[in-house]
Amino acid sequence: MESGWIPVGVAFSLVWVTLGGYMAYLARRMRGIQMAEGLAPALVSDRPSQAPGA
Amino acid sequence: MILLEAAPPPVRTPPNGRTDRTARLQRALGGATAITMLIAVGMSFLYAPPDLVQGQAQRIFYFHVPLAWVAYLAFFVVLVGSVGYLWRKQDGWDRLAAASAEIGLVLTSLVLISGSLWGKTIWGTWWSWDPRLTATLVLWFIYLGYAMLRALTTAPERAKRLAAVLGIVGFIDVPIVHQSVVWWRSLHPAPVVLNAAGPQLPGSMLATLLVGLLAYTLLYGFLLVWRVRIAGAEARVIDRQRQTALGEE
Repeated sequence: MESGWIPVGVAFSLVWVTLGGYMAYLARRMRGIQMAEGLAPALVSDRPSQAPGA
Repeated sequence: MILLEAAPPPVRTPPNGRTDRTARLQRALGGATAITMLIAVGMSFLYAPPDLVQGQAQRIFYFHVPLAWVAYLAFFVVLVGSVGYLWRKQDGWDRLAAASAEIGLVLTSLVLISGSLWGKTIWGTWWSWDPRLTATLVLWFIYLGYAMLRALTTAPERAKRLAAVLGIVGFIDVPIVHQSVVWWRSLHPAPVVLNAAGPQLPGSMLATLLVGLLAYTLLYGFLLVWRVRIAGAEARVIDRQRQTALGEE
């Protein structure tokens, strides 16, 4: 493999790791604010819990 | 009368239709970005020929240049948002400017990193105090300062006003970055597309670059809509908390 591919691969990976990290940060922030707004799906299942002995 | 004056400001909850529209726009932009980006990446690695002088390393060009282009675009949107905020005093303009500045800062960081890797391969050095590189680093510091100003100023209205002024003044560096290779002697190559003599690239390389420009512009649009949605939702939550606090007093 020609050595010119190595800097291309490293630069491309760094770009996409950074962009992926930024998108993960946005997703986490969005989820947090949606929960604060009461818009996110409830963390607890909607199904009624089974009471002991039921 | 006293009661009226003490009444909390209305909660800025947009109609559900508007929230749905921006969510749909974000999804559409996400889909278009994914498809275009796959084509752009495929073209830059498989379709475009290696450069005669630089060999395979020249392929950094196909994401370094689009990243720089969208960084310029992001800072232009900061300029528009800043002028809009100072003129209309509406928070929506401020949120647009703040969102675009954050994305522009990320993109400029990537321009500097990818350029440094390219420079090491071709020039044999990670960094040179060349006019283009130095002006780009100054641009990065301007918008880092913009982000710090917003984060550290405790009075929100003052922070918005100061950030808007910096967003307008800071944009002056964008044409300086672009023209630096024309105005001063530079290691960095002159523009190959926005050139007085027309594009200086073979057809396959130009097509790959143009698809890359489209893909990264769509990515910027996707990130911008997402970031503005988050800022809007945060403003609504803060309003609601303020209203609740005032109601409890």
